[in-house]
Amino acid sequence: MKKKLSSLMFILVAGILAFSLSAYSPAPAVNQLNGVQVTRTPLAQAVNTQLALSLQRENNWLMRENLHLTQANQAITKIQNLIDKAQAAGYDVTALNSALATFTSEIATAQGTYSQAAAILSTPAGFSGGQVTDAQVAHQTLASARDQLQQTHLTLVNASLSLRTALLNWRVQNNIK
Amino acid sequence: MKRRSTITILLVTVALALVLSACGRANLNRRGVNNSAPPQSQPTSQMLPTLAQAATQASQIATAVPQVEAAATTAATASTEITNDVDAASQQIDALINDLNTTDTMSDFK
Repeated sequence: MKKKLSSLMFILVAGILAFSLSAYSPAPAVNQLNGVQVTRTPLAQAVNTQLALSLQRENNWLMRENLHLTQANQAITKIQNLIDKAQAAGYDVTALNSALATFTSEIATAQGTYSQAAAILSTPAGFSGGQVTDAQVAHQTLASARDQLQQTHLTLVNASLSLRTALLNWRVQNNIK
Repeated sequence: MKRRSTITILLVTVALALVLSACGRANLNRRGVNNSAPPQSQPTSQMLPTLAQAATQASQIATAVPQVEAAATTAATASTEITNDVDAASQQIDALINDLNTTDTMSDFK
């Protein structure tokens, strides 16, 4: 009798333990994505966090490129001012004029790719309020904007280096201290 | 006695003529040109400016000197301004390049 009672108690304790374990096991979150039911795992959440962070970084980058375009336009004004004065003083400014024309054209190209990036990031597809709503679309959005920003950046770097070289050469050729 | 005095007078006359001749040759060079003499093609009076011309030239110089000085000052000022403008443009471009180099271009984005 005592042995039977002990067996019953053991079964009861095992049952309670099994029930409690099942109650506390992490249930996978279920979400609706493009009409397909997907399971949101911790890995997917980490990816979404990274995508949201990348969106912030691209927005920062966009602001930096806007600043660079402003600086480039200020450089155009300064070089034009220099050309006007140098020409009035009798210097040969042919090379400087040519370098400035090239730089101005490249800045216009950079402005174009910057505007495309700005358009993409103004209403980023796959995001809502900075949070990911569609990971694949969000990734595509970020990749497209990044391509445009990279193009802007490379154009600005090449244009600036060429202009600096041209200005340095002109300075040496005209013996300007 | 009278003949002797006549000969003496003749000798003195010849000697005097020789001395005078030698003095005249002193102004001639070996080719026979007198350097001390003014050129015969243009009289000295024509080479020298008249007082009026000299006054005009002095006036022109007096006017030209400040103009040349002003032009030199203007050129120096323009040169300084150009140097300053080149410096300003160079600094602007350098600042842009430095800023571009420190921009996060998301090279880690996959």
